[in-house]
Amino acid sequence: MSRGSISLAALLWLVIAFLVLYPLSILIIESFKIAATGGWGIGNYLEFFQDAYYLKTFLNTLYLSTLVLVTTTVFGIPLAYILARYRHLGKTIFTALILLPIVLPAFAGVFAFIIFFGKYGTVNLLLMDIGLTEQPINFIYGLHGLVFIQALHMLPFIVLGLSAGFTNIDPSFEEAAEVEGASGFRRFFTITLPLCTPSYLAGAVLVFLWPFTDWLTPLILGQVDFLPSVSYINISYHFTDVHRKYMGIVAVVVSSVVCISLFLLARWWVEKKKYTGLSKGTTSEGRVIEPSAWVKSGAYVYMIFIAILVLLIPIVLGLAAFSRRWVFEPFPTYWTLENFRLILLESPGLIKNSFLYSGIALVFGIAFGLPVAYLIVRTRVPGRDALDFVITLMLAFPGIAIGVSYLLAFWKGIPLAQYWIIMPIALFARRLPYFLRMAHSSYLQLDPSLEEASEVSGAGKVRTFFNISLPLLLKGVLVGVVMFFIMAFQEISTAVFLYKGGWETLPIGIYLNWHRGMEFGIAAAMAFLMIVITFILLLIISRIGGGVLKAAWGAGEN
Amino acid sequence: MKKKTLTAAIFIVLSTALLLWPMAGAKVQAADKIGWVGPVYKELSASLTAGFKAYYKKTYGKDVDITFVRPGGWPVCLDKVRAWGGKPDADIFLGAGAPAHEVLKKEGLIVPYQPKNSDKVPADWHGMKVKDKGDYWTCFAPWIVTNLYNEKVLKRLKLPPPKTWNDLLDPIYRGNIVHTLPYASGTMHETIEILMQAFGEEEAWKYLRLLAAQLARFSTGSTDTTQLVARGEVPIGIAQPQMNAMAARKDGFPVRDLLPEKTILVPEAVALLKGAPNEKVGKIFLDWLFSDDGQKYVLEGRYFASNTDISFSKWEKEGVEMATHAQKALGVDSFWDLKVDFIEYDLDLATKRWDEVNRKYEYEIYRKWGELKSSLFLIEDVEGEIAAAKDAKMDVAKADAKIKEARKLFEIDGNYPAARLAASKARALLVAP
Amino acid sequence: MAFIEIQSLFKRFKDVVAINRIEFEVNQGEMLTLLGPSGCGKTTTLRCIAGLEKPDEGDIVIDGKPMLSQGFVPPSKRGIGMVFQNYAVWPHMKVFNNIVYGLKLQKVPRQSIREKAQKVLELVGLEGLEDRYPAQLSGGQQQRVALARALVTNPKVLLLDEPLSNLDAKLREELRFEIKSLVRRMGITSVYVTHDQAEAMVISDRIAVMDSGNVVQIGTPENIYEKPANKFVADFIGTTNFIPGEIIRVAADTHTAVMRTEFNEELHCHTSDLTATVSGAKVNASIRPEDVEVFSQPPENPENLLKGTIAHKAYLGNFLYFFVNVDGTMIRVQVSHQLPQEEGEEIYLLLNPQKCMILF
Repeated sequence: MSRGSISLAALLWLVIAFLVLYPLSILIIESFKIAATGGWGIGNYLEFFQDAYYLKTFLNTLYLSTLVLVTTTVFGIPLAYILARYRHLGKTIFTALILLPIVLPAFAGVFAFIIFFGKYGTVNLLLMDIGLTEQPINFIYGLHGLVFIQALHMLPFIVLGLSAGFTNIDPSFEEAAEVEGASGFRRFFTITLPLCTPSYLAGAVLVFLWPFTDWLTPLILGQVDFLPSVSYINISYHFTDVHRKYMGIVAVVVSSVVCISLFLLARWWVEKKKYTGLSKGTTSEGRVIEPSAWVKSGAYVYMIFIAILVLLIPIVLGLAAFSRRWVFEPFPTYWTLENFRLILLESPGLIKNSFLYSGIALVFGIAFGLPVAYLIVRTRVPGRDALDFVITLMLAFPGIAIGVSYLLAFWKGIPLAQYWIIMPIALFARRLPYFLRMAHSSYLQLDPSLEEASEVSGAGKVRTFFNISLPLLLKGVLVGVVMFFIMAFQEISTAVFLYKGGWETLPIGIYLNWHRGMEFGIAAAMAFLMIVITFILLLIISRIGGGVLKAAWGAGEN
Repeated sequence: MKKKTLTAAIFIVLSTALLLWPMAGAKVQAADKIGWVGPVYKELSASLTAGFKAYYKKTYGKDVDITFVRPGGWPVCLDKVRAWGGKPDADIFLGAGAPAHEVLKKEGLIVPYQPKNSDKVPADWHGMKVKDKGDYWTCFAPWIVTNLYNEKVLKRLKLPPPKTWNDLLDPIYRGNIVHTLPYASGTMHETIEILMQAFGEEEAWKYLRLLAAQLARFSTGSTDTTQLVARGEVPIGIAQPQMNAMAARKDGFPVRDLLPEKTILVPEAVALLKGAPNEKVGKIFLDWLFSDDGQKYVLEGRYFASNTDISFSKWEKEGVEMATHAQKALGVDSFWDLKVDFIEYDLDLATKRWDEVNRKYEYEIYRKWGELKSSLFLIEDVEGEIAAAKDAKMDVAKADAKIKEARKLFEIDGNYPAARLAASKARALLVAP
Repeated sequence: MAFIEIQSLFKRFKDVVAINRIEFEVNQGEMLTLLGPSGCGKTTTLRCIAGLEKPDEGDIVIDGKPMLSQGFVPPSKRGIGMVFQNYAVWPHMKVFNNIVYGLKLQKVPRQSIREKAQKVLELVGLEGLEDRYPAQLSGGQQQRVALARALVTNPKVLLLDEPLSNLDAKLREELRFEIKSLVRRMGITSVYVTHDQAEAMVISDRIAVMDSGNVVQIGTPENIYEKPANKFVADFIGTTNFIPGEIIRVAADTHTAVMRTEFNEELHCHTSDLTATVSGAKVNASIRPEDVEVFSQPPENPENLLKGTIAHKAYLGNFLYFFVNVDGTMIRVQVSHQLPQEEGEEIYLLLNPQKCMILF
């Protein structure tokens, strides 16, 4: 516990205090302000839970979360089982495809599905053209569409958690049940599934929290009576109706409290029930089954079905990006590069901003994340667990909460929000856990004696870090870096509250072009561009270290 | 090892470059600055940006950096300026109709300035104010409040285009109409104001409640409405600026505008914000905006130009692409040649109740949309049952009286739960009078 | 001649005391081994000497310089070489770069680095492998790299933390002697940590046996084996039989005591601690299996003679191994000659009083 690491810890705590604790406490303080009297009290909260409208949005959100969780679970269990247990061709490709939505921007899915499944989208037009239907079918406008789109976006979290579980279970547990005479289904529901609950739960929490974060999908589908959308409208459509602003803040705080408590509850539960610790000596591949031909073809059909749904997103956006005037036609007929020309001509700044902000956020992330990982793994500085805890908690915070709290905290007293640097700072704060996890786990894998050997050889701590630790961590860190960059690159929930004229990023540009202009061609082209960039980055990751998605998500979950 | 060194090197170079990028950017920034805030559409802001930059460079030999913020529709922009509290983050309030500018003027957030050439903009037109007498605001792009429909979709649904406000209440259009909220869009706000001033307040709110039951959904802004109609997702859109149809048609969408029988002019105006940080450049911009050059960029931005001395046919020859579309859309050679009939519009009244109207709509209709619909649908069902019973020569006097009470509770009081209760009582009375 | 002095060193991790105020010295040029079961504090002690752990109390003096009391001296400034249990050879550096890392840090001129590296590579027998990556080397070769790296800077002190525990048995045996002769030739003061008593016996000049954070005995390998200070040492070093009993007589002049056990009235034993050896004390007598003599018939001199039944008999090539049941107590016996008796037959054991030691 050298003086050096104590002052390092103090410095990092200072950063956390400034970028996390201070804004969030301002958020909470503001929620207790009473607009009418200028005083303080719990009036806003009382109103929130008594006002039929707010109460309705709250219950709606809980209901939506439940539906999304149930849907992802029902679809995710067979999928995870197939991926983890069946021996089949193209395992890598299917895994990659099914996990793809994690790295796709959430809004990309909404836009693609509106184009494809809309009232006069491809599917409806085809159905009407061949005379199957007279009137267009409402595939996506409404709760069912919302559940479909959010569930598809969150499905990977369930699949990752469960398939990691299925793979890691000691085969002898199941073999024992088999010997005892439990048949396939019975064994699955009494032994396999319960053993997977901890790893399932880690993903399930993130799924359940998503409807508390995603304001954009409901808004685009015309379903606004959900907490995040209401908070967004209350805060960014009204600037002087102070009471309404406070109610929006209350909605944000309530969402945050729900998210954080569920997150902690799940963590506590997982800690309590760590079955995995019981098993030892598992084979790395787990149990692999050779299913019967019927089951196998069923599994293929099922996987292909999900993979197609996922693939629709880049394909449809690609079609829209390279065409214009794609309306009332099942497929575009007028092909052009006009959209890209317009992006480069009218708003090259968006691309520049996206790279710039994510890049700076990334530099902050490395400069902050590596020392934190070092402190947590390598030292016994008091408060390091709390540091880890606070940063992990950022995972559960709705992006809206960070955006709003930054807006409140850095406007008057510390006028950081008046300078563009607020954008990368906010991205950094919001996405930090992603990088930290990577850095943390690669640090854990780095044998401390490698560093000690350097110190004994006469190198100081700093020199040791650069000569030994950094080169050895590089692989893990680079993967974390790219993941972080991807996540920062597509961030919108926080940025939308903070951006000013000239600070727009690609996601904001997509939102503005689609929603507040009529340019869905440009929006699609931007989304397509983002997908392409993400793909390139993913390719880099997989070059650096295979099985990255698993490393970044699956392993860290339990 | 070499590979690793290389990766490390690339990484370091990249991160250094990223760090240095903003500094490099800062050095170049010796240009003048101007900021616009307002609800004008992207095409207009893009066109004006291009035009003014070129003009500035040509005239002053310097670059000008333009930032444009569009937080939302007029009310949102207005509220943004209010929130700045006299220390605006922009110089020009670009766009929005008369009431928004009147509110700004009343609250002392804009200052008078008479741009050169603004005398070419008429002061009044068919009883509607086009610019402020005290030069606080001047219209640079006039338009009329219209509705919008998608001709292809209506044809497919075998529905005639709705001609009047009352046509929209026809059950055949139920689920095929969309509009936004008055706090999100000035056009929607003005539509409510039109209804209130043309039909009287009580009648207007009754109408709005009934219209709400016809909606497929609420959109989040007037452009959201436009894109929903243009792409056929909902075929009829209420409260649209007149030029939206023109712009959408130009992009290849099968939409047409509907001039309702009662409407008003919206003088999309511009004003200089109080405490503008770049007042000088702001004034240069205003002068340019009303010049022939500036007006052409307005038209290229898909808005109708406001100066009286312009003609689309002349501009068409000069190569202004949008002039053709404007002429086709309006059927005349200049906006001011339009033959229209407006309602009598009380701007002061509209200014005074600006916030109140927005609030009332949101709290009484939007937030209770679900209840509203279920209540009205029940009333309609029971009314049908009563009519059927009447045909069957049954005694329906009591039920009839009760259902009329339910209608009144719904339409006049906006008390949806009570109306629903009354309707179910009426149904009970039908069975056991 | 103490080159390293450990002065009442104390270290705790949360609630666990890792080192409990231990004291010992290492002489110049000596190889001292810290021996003990896992968790006894030996590695922590070594890491404290290296500076990788900071003790809570006490001091470490190396070559007359205190490492703690006059400000903490970081590991990089202590002038030590260290060999780690898992080699800790840096996987991203070639063998050569691994070895010369410390020299580069000392800003040794390039030519001299080359020479020194060449010399040490020869010394550990790695000539020609300097351009390889550690992943291309066997475990034994990696350990040699680690050793070379520790020696190349010519450190004042060499610390070795179970350097052979990850190698297979044969290689381990080979390297023991190699390390011993190498270190002795270079005359470096060394501290060696191991839990393997055989390794400790082979390699050390002196052994410090540690238990639960305390040093229980320091001495030459012979000394420790023959005269273990207590029950723990006797048990940990080699194999021994413990016979519980109560002291009934003490003869101070001859350092002998007589105790009563469960199966005979008088067992004559040797004792080294006269202050603790008092009548009525409950103690254990320890005798190693090879110090028990076996007879088919009772011999003339009946002192310390026991009669038992053979429970197990095992043939181990160069000797025989018996488990003999003496009134319910199992006594292990090792004999180097053949005996005709089979399992279940009776046999006589003679416990040499000089080798039968009273321990606490």
